[in-house]
Amino acid sequence: MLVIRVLRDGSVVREELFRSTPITIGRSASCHLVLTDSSVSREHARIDRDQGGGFVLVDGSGTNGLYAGPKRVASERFSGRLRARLGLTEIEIEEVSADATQPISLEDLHQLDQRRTPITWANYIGVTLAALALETVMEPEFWSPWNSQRVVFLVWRSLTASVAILVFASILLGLLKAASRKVRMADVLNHFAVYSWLGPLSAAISLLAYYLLSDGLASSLRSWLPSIAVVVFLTQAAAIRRPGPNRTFRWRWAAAFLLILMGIDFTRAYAARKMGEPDIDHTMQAPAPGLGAGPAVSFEDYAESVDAAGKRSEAQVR
Amino acid sequence: MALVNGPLLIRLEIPMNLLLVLLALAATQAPATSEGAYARLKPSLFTIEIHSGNRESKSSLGSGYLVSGDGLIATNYHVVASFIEDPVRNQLRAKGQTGEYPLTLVQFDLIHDIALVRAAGVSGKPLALADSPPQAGERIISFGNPEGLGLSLIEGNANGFATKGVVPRLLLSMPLNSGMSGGPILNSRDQVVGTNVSVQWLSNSLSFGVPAQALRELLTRAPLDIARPALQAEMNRQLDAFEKQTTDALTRAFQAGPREPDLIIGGARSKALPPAFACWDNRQEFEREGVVKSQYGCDLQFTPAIEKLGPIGSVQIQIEHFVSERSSYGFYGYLPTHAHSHQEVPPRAPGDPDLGPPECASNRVAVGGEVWKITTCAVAFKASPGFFDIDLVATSLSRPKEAMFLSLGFKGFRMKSALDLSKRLIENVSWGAN
Repeated sequence: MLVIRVLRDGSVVREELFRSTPITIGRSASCHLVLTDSSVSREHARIDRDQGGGFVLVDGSGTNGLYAGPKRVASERFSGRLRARLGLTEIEIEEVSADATQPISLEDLHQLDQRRTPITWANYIGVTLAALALETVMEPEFWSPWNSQRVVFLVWRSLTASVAILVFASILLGLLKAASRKVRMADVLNHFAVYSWLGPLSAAISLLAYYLLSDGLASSLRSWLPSIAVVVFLTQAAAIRRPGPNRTFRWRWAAAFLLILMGIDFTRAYAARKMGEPDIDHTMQAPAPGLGAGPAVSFEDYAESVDAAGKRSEAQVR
Repeated sequence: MALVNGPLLIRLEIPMNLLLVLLALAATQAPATSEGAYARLKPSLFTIEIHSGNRESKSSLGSGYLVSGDGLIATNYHVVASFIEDPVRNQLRAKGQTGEYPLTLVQFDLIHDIALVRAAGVSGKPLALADSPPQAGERIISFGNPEGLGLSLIEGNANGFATKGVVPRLLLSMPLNSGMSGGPILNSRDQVVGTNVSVQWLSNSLSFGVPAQALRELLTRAPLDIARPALQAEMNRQLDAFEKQTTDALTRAFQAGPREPDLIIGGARSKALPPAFACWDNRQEFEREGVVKSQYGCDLQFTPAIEKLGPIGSVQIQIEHFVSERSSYGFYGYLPTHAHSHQEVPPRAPGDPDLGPPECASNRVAVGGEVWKITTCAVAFKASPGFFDIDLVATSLSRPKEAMFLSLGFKGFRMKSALDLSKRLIENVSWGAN
């Protein structure tokens, strides 16, 4: 049994099953498979059974030629699957059998592109907004007694975020399409819905690290976690609907994004230094049950670090 | 309650001056004896100007008076400060009854804010220095050239010494004006009891003088080499001496143990601060926010100032206590903002050639049984190695809905002195009895 699929823009638009050979393909109504495309000849090609047990696709003097893959052929032997082009019409021919049902592999499931409606979009955006809202309410400053406009702030932030999500998703979609990925808006929004949770996750890790690590380490972690989250977000975005194994691809992109972020960070720090803006960290958290205020150093140790700061200032003025 | 320090006296804003002039007119009625003093003393009085070689213009204006037969004139350090900073570009001159004279710098004392200059070939009767400070309530007169408008006499009373600060100051009830800096303060026997130096801003007729004793001491010093490096070295020597004097005085006062009952600042307590500090307390209830803030702010008055660096040897202390009835999470969300608002980031423009960039260190620090989040920033002085502006803020971290807060500012201090005093001040603060 052979199945022939007619493709348009890489997608299957028609599928027909043939139980016997020969199969004629062309614009003529007498052909087994009729293609209405005007670039296809009346009797453009024919499929016969081959002596070896496979099949052969033969050019039936089509004006615009027969192509197997990129090359023009007079005839092409095949078994299993063949992609061919008749004029401007692309077809896929596959030998099928009535074997037992194949179990779905995880990879197949991932590639499964179901029909997704605007409601799906709204769901994805809603989940993303929930992650952003959680990140906002996790900021201690949000609960400051002096922040009296919490609800207004949250609503305003969500509204601007939903616009921003659509804008960024469109840009990402454009970039992925430019990289010839078969990707749709829903894929991109789905990515946002999943990876936006890195925000609250890194915030939670920072909050916890404050009590467990020294002030300096917790501070470094606090400044680096968001960057790492951004790198993961971008790397996963770059790999959306990329066929084949992606591990090396992801590592390369992660390294590239990390390098860019480090560059931005370095430039910002350099500019701040040039502007004479000191690097000040005032982070404080309420004492936690069982953990108290977290690890502290002695005044003598602290005095040494202040002395070092003074020496840095001195070194820059001499 | 900002004190108008030396340099501001000669640059008081005009509306303020008008106010002071009006008050002066209303408050004083000159008795007959003043007319005689005017005539007697005028030949000994001068206007001191700093200029850059231009006859008509000046960059600084003050007053001065003759103290020796060979042309020594006393004035304020802040009147001649920009000359000391840049003796190459700036020149000094005196204008008196008998004409105009170029001046040379002889000595200065930036701590007491006095200076001696010499006018070659000047004639006039030197004013005698009084042997003892004026009695409280004693009638005094003062001369000067307010705004360069003309020699003026002001009458008032001496009230002994101001009780605050680490530099002695005569407390005067008289409306001094901008431009009178460096003029003499005289008793009824025409003897100099002090030199005009500053006024308290936004107050009525509250002025200060440098006691004559400081000038007497300055007159015994050998004349200075007025080359620029030598002047800088002398400034550093005086800065060093004053820093030591202040640090020692404060350290002794802290070591002296409990003199007075503890200060109560809301729910916090602090050992009393040395009496040299002028302090104010305040309590604010933020009803909508559910926060009560108590604060106690102190500073050292009459600290000197260096033209390029601002105040030196000054210590500012702010102790606060917060209590919140809302969530501790949000309360601690506010505290960093508060600490940030107190962290005095560079008071001068970036790229200032006289000061290094602010460099800071933050950590959680255990002091006196409490864990504090402390951030300290230091700004190095270029021309005075080893001296810094140091700014420290500390917030307690052990209680969920209550916090103690300290903001300490040291201007022109050595690192070790500032850190030692800071440690002591933080140790002095504790939770009040509940």
